[in-house]
Amino acid sequence: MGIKRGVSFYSYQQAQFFGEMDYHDMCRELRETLGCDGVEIINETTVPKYPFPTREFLADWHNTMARYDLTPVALDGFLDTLRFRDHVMTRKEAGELLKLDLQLAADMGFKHVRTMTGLPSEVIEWALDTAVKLDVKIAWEIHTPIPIKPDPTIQGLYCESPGTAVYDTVEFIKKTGTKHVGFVPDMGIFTKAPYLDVVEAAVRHMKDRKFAANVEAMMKEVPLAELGEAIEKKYPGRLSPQEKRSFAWKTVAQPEDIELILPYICSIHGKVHDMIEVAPGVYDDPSTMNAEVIEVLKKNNWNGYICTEFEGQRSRQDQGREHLADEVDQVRRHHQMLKRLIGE
Amino acid sequence: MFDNNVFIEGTCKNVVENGEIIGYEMETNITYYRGIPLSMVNFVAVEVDGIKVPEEDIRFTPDHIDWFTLKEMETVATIKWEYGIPATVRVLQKGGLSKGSHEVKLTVCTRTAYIPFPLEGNMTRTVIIE
Repeated sequence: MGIKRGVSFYSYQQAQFFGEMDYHDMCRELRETLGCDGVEIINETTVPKYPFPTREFLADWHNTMARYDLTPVALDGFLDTLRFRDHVMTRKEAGELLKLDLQLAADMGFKHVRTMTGLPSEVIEWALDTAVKLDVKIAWEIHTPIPIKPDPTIQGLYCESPGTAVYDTVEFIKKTGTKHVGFVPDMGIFTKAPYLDVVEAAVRHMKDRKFAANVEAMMKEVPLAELGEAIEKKYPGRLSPQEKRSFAWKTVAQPEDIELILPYICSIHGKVHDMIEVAPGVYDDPSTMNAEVIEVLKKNNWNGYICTEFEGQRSRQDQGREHLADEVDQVRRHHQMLKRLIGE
Repeated sequence: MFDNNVFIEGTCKNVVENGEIIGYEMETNITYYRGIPLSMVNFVAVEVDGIKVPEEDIRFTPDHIDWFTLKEMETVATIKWEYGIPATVRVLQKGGLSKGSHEVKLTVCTRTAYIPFPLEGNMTRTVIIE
């Protein structure tokens, strides 16, 4: 009972890419080092021949879960709307794809499919019977810039009405009374500063190295959250629009907002870009309100998994192998923080 | 992402079939974090010493079993290019690459979820043909 820890294998994508880890290695890391049991996967990254894996794969999967005493939590599905060249995927086609993910989730023992953010109710409706039949929930990810509280001014690339998407789905759940629809909030909606790795990449790419050195000096003095504004004040107009975006950040949800959707949360993405050492051997994420959100969850006796989703790979991939993120270490640091905040 | 790895080092070589060099090929890793069906490879382009290879001379295979032209790939929504598994890009050109050094540029453009425009990964490598 209570808050449990897990890992999205998205976190180890680079290690998998370079052949350093396969899913067995990831499972062993969870059990033997992190001491946690929650597993989340990306369908087309972990499952060969998706959406129709071999029986051999499924047997190996279940055996691996048993060997390391792990719990399949969420299967991440995607809707590649540009998959066909003669038309954009229709909502009914998306619903059919979702059914395949639900079946795969059932076959692999997952309790819910995490779908793309702002999933339209028509797609959910098309696949809902299958979700009920298989007893696998459809849970769409609440990803920035989508807020929890309705805010129609919010616009973004992700869906037609991002500002009210959560509200619309809650209305759908209430109207239908379904127990098979919910959310996977991403901790990235609770930001309190820009992502450090993104800031560092922006500084690394500045052509004016003297200016970059000045910014680096400011980083030692000014809190991360205030850095962008402080640079703009001291060096007006010096940041390019792209650089400005790297220093900008926005809180799209407050920790207490999560209470509004608590009964519908299937699991949480512990989004993290950069874990820093704040005291000897003590790690923290400088960009996200982890402590505040976990406090709200504890106060409400929420039961469920927070699955670490380390996403600090991309900002470093312009460099050689020796400078790439150490995913395994970052996830270990994140779990050290989670344990501390959960009170394990 | 992973643009630095779109053209796998040391894989570009001439292809010999029945004693004849029929072209050259190179291996590529997907520049994304998931496997995708081939229809989501928006295009592949090869440039050698600054000259673009005609699109119709390019062949693509995710497994060395099924080979496709770029045009054919547009309708292949079931066969997958798996994550982390190198695919092969072959250019049909009698005689292949001549002996010596060449600047070979490979571009692989993919359609991905969430992002409403295709993403290009490209990389140039100096290739020595002995």
